[in-house]
Amino acid sequence: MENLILVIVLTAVGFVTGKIAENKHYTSIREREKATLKLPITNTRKPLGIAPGNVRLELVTGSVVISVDYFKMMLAGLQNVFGGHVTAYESLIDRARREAILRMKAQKPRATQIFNVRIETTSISKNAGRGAVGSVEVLAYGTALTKAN
Amino acid sequence: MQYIPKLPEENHNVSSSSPFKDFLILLSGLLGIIFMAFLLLGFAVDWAVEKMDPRSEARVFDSFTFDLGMEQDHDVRKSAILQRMVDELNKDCTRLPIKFKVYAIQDKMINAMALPGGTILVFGGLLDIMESENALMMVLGHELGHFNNRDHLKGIGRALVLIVLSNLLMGPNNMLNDWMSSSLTLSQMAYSRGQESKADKFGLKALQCRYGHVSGSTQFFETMSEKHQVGKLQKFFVSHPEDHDRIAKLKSLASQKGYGAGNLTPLREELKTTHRALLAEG
Repeated sequence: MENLILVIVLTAVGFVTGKIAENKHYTSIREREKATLKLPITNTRKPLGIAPGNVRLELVTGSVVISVDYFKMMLAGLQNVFGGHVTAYESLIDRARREAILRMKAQKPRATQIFNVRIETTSISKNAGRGAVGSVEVLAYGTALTKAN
Repeated sequence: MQYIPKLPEENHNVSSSSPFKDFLILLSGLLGIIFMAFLLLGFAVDWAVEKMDPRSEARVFDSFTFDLGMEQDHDVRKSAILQRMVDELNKDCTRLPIKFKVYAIQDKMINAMALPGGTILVFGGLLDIMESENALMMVLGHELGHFNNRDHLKGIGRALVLIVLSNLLMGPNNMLNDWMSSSLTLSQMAYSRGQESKADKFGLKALQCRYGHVSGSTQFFETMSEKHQVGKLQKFFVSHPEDHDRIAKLKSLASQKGYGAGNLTPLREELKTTHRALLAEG
């Protein structure tokens, strides 16, 4: 019985706190995306539209770990039973990906572009045992091109 | 090529569905499926269990303990006396292929019950209102009647399935298991009037066989209906309404079969709750 109550409480807490955290995060993501819009990122292997010349090329990385809340875990568990899209994790992955890119951009805010961008994802604490709350790491990396003075 | 900075208008990577709504729909679906499985399995067990022969019944239910306090609270001496009464009655008259275990429970409740596996519980309150051995024998015969008609196994299917499910989901010793014992008691309570009257018939026959007459067969119901009129609503009435009806039925059955009256055998004093025990109980 105690277990059941614990699960219900955790789910409710997870729903509320998860919602708050997600809304806050999305607000911040949107603001920063707008602010860094001027810095283009591409996944081409070579920089775009820049004649070879006096430029500096550097590796930039941005990574973020976002934890799943208890509510999302329960929802995903239910969706695992019935099949279909695991919508529970969609916003989680979306936030992680965008945040990683933003952090990558933040590493070289003066760059003219970041090319050859790759995004990788790892699930953390996947094997930490049943009932463990999982989290996802997203790593974005690319080559920042900065015009040298 | 020109770079035009622009944010996507819509986020196509996140579904627009409400997670809370999804959660509720899926959860109710899952619970619905579990509930259906529980009902179906329950009916399946009910169906199977009624067809079970007494030997396999004993094997299955030997490992079950109904947490009704019979191990702790039963009076060893009274239980032994009752055990002998039941064994003799079964050997001489009813001849059911069941090994009965009889427990006298120290409780004020005026009731006796038949549990799966051949367990008969007789509560102290019942023993205290018995005026003769014949009357008690009638009650015991009535309980044997429930065994004979397999009444004690009807309705336990859902309880059994619930035990299994709750053990699977929440581990042993949880609230549901505690609730189970009361639910089993309830299933015991829920005998229909038809079942009760069949058990009465069985008990009356056993009484006639044991003593050669049926005096005392209605004493229990008479006492109960008096108690009822006094306004002491006993728990017993939940399952045993229509005392007058049952008395009338027993009487008509006795005259129909030609069962006579005779001398009552006094009840052994040891079976009554002693004054000291009452004091101890407070």
